[in-house]
Amino acid sequence: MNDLDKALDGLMRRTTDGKLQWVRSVASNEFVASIDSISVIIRDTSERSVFGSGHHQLAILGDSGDVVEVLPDFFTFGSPETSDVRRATPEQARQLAQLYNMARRSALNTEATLGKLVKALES
Amino acid sequence: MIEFVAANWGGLVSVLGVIVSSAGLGWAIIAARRARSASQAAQEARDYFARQLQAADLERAIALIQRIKDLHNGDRWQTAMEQYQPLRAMLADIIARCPESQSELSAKLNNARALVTRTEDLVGERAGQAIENTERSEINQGLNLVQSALEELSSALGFVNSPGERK
Repeated sequence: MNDLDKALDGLMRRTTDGKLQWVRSVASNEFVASIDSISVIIRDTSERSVFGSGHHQLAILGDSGDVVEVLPDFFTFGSPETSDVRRATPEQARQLAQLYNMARRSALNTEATLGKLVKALES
Repeated sequence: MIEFVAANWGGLVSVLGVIVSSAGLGWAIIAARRARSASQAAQEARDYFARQLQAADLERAIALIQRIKDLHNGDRWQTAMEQYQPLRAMLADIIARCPESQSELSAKLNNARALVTRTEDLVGERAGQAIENTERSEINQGLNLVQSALEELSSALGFVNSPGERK
């Protein structure tokens, strides 16, 4: 398990435990969270993907707010095309998709809204 | 009397030693208290100036965000592009000095800084192209989140211009 695997695993675990609060970013299809001075942005890059829908990208921002690592799941338009750009393995791509859904639900407060809806329907 | 002193010389010297030692200890305690007070006063002064600087930095950052939003609204995207990096630097500085007790707020400020980075990317990607009103609105909403995180910190630190007092 490399550091990116561990990072993805940790992000998913913290999100599941409710210890990582995601917020909406400046575009509707992306979400941001921070741990200490590190921030991460998860995006749905389907519209930029040459392979159709269901693609995601994780960006890691360092202390200065600069992007220090990008993990696109497949070839995505607009991502840095330098030789050191990593591409997600199939397993990481699956995790990225899962993390995106978890981040979206956290940021949009989906569970609480569903709970309210159920309560309202029962009353 | 002389005989008494001669007979009890050792005891008298011991008593005198105890008195001198006690006086020395008392003096040392007073001196230590004074030193601590001076040290505390110096620390308080340093804290005061740090807080004043932080208040000024927060004000500057909030004013810069307002300027960037005005530039966005005026479609002056290229000029706005030049302001993102200084804003990120200001935020980095503010985050570095955010009190440890404000960890939740610190996370919000880190998120805010990430939003500025994304805004910079988005505007950069659109270089030379028209930015639609909906997208401008989303970008400015992101900046509003940054602004409210800064205002929240300003309020939490008890600075004069809390959100309710801002004009």
